[in-house]
Amino acid sequence: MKTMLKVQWYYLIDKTAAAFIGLFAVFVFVAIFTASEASLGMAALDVDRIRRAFVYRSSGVLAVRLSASVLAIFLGLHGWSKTQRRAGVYFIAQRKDVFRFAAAKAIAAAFILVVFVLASALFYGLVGGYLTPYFTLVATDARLFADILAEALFFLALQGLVTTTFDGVFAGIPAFVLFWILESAAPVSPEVGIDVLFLVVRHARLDETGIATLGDPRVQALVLVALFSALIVVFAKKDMN
Amino acid sequence: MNISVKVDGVTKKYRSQGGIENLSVSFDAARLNLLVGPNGSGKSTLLKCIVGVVRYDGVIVATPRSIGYAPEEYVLPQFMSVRDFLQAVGRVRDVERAILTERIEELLGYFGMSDHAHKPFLGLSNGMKQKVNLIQAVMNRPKILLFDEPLRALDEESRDRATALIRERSKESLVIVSTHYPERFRIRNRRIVRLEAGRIVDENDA
Repeated sequence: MKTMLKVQWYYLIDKTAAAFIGLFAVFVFVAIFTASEASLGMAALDVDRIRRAFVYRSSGVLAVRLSASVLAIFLGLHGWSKTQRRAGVYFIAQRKDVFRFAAAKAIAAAFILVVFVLASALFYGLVGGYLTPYFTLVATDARLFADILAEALFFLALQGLVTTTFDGVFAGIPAFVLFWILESAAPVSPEVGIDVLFLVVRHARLDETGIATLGDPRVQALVLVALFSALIVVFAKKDMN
Repeated sequence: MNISVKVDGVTKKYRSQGGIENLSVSFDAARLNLLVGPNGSGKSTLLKCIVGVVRYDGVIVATPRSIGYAPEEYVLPQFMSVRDFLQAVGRVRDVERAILTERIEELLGYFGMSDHAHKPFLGLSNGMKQKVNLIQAVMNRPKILLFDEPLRALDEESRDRATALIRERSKESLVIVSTHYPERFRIRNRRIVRLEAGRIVDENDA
């Protein structure tokens, strides 16, 4: 499995993926730094601390969430494409290898997202903690980043499943539409019909009252497990070449 | 050990075009089996069905289930080195590390690739990638070897080396080669199977 994970890691991170990840990382770092208003200096930032902390927290989290989710959709499109499936011919000698190969791909892609979100969280903590007087890392922040990761993993599994099932350039549309709906709908009192989405997808955003997250985390975790399981099973049934 | 591939009533159709239809054929070891025919005649599809990388209707029995396959279309990890990739393929196929290393170095040397072994695929030419594609197929000494257009992208010298290697392996393994250039594989004991529109239209020992 270790060899399979290494191989999948290298297959996932090609020139295009490296460029995308780099681009998103730069975007996140610039967005977090800008949101901190650190360039104004410590003295200027020492007034209106509560409002500034809220703006930093909400803007930083928004930037990381957007980047992580879009990166997840990209990885789902790229990693599960027909071209990438061709790699299977080298590494699948027996039936059981298909499942190992598919599981390793999912784990490698998830690992990329974990690293991305962790690096973003670290930068967020460092900028807020060292460059501003108003910010203190609290448990809320850890929960926000955990929710961001959960949402990104949902989009990774969903997009991987859609790409595997329907090859083609339009495979990214459903996930992007869902992502757009989740971003534009109000999470506290969403419209009827849309509210069901928030029951199955982890989607946290910071508002004046704190973190607003709908749905049972156990249901959302089950949905995530079901999606990844379906992804592996559907992948195993597809032609490799 | 009896080495054979028996294909019985196999059908594989694609949405676009091509594929094979109700195809039955047997291949035996100790001779070079060549698949010839125009583009879209089903040569590659037949090889993919034998390897098992596509789903099909019908029955294929490959004995023993020890298959090396060099596909026509392949994808290699851009940032992984040639040596690491070959090691990984060998490890997944349960080849012992010491034996694997020896064979990889031997085959890289045979194809004049030793100086490129540490390089990632990103900077390699298509010809070099094709050599790696061929090396991975033969390095664990499988009993059944399938090559899909093995001379594609190779220069003249490399083509000679590749055909020599394939001829040599055909003496002890069951080798099937899909090619547009059967004249490149001149050997006393060879069999040519001609496909057209997914069916076998001619078979002869030549």
